Amino acid sequence: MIAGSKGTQKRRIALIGWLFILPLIIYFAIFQLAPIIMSFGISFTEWNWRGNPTWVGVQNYIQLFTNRILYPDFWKSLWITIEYMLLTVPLSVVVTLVVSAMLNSKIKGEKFFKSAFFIPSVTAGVAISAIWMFLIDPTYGVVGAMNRAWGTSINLLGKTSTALPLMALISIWSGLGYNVLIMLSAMKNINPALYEACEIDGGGPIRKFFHVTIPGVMPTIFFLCITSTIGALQAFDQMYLMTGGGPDGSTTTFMLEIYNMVFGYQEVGTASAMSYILFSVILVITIVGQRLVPSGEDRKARKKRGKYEQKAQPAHD
Amino acid sequence: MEERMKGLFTKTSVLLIALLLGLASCDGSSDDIITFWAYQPSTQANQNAFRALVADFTEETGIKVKLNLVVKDSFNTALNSALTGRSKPDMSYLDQPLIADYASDGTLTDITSMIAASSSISTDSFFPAVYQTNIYDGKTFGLPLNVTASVLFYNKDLVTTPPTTWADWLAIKNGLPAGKSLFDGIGNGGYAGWYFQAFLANCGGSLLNDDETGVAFNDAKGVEAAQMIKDLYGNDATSIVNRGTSDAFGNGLVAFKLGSSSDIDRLDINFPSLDYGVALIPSESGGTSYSNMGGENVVVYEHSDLKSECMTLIEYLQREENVRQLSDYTGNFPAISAFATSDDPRLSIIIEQMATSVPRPVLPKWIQVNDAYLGPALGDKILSDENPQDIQTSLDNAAQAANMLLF
Repeated sequence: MIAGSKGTQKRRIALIGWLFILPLIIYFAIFQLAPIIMSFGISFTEWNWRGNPTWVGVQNYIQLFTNRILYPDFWKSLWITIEYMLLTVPLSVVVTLVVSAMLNSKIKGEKFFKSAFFIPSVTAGVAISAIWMFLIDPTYGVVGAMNRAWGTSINLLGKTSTALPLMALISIWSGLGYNVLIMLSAMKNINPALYEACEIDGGGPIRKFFHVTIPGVMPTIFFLCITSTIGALQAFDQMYLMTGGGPDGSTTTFMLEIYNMVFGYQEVGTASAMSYILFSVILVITIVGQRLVPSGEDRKARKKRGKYEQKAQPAHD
Repeated sequence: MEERMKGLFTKTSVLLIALLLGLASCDGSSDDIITFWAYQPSTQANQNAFRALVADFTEETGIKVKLNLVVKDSFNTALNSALTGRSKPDMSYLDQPLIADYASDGTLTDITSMIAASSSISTDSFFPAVYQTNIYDGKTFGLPLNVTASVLFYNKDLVTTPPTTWADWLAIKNGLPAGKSLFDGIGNGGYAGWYFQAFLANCGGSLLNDDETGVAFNDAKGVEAAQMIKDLYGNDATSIVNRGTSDAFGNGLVAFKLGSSSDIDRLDINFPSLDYGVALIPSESGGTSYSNMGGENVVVYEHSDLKSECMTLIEYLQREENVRQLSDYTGNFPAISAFATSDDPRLSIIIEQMATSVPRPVLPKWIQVNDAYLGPALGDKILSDENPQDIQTSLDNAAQAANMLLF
């Protein structure tokens, strides 16, 4: 009897739980899961959006990988995206760590700096692009003033060697506030006794940073690496707004190429195939990342932190 | 509590299912109402005027019309989505280069016989090249509504008399003051491909060969046209910096730019002190000046049950007072040559230029050729500031891809 009522209670709780997540499940099923499954099917067809799709098997995938005449930008845009990822992810994590550590060191005006760093994160991408375009305009703005004053002809967006690094810098700058917020909350959660233990051991700020802070925020670093990587591989809006993929396709990311394919040329099947290729790349990178840092904190980092945890323990007892 | 939760659960589920069913059954078209998609005029007053124009049509004919005004920038995407779903329009505006794509897959209705039967529409009344943009596979799939052509804008502070030959045009560079450059450029991607056609036509070349079995933009004339653009660009630091500047022409940094009617409004509003003129695009030897063109056609969809009613609406829209009104919304001109008039000398030049404008090839996937192969070959390879590539090789590569895709 008691067991029966416990079972009813359990079912009731489960029912209430399902009720709460039902809207999200419906939303996910209709607007995310269904398009994901449908686009997988579409990737095996030739379709212009209007008529009936024609089944072509794996032709889209084969053509993309092998036909350099019809798809001259496929490999190029994939490489540019990886290059962009390699530029943004490490630098973004390093800058985030440094800025967060500075803000965590009880500096004056912490709130002001936090707000200042966070403003770009809540600013629309279009506004950010417009501001940067003005700043780096070769005739007006800051770069224009430099060109006039020094007689130079700096045109950062007009050169293949500088356009992509500039895009990466803007992306790091605009995402810094969000990353710092996450990192800072992780740093605040580190047991202060660990820093004291490190100090007793004769550790200075640098040693504290590398032996306490870094191991303590390793799961957050891992999280930022993964999210930044996914973000970099899906980079689109800045390039679309600021360069249109130029000069000479040097900022044509994979997502921009997918956009052109579907909205410019109405090659929906090919664009879907490209989306799944990008999905595979992201999946591989995420799995490799997880293997490299299995629990978000590697053994070495755990060992370093553990040393001070042992020393800090008596202080709490 | 449990009963209340169960009740809430049931009500929520019913509500969601009803909502989904409602969305699924939502259909923009109705059996006896024409659904007409058009570009949304930029001002509220013009949007109201457009709706009033359509309301007058309903009053006159008794045919009901549901007018769907869509912002031009997202028009093609929204239209494609609508044609895939259930909210299909019966008729709509359609950008010139899309006619072949939509006609080739059976989306558009062949209106050849309806035009022949019409007492108010004469195909001879349109600018000939503009009318050609509606003909695919020998059949007519639309009628031109608005049109414009590219012309040469020149800064009167830097140029006293606009050039008529390529040699004159290039010679002006020598007389420009320091910090000023000759030409604003042809842009990148699709724009580069589009403007290239004007240069090609002005030296006697064309995008396709005579029997339309292959592209011809990589022949000797194509190379000559590309070389001319390259010469206009120049590779000095001033030219490179000015080309990378926003609105270099408006800011008085360059002597010439290519543009059309919409640029006149933009320059007048944003750069009121700029003293500029408009001229025909110079030809190689000073003969007939040719240009490229852009504009909107109006089409009827094959799935529509109201084809003859749609044709009645098209006839109504083509009336002089109506088509003038619609052209004003886009800044273009009526496609019927007799209605394309203006007192503004700058606009008159554009109208004159329209008479000798050349249409883009009416071939499915031409946009892809223009945007993905020809445009990048010009903007990114041949005209690159950093690593300019050989003209013939770049055009040959683009031609190889184009032929593979088109033929």
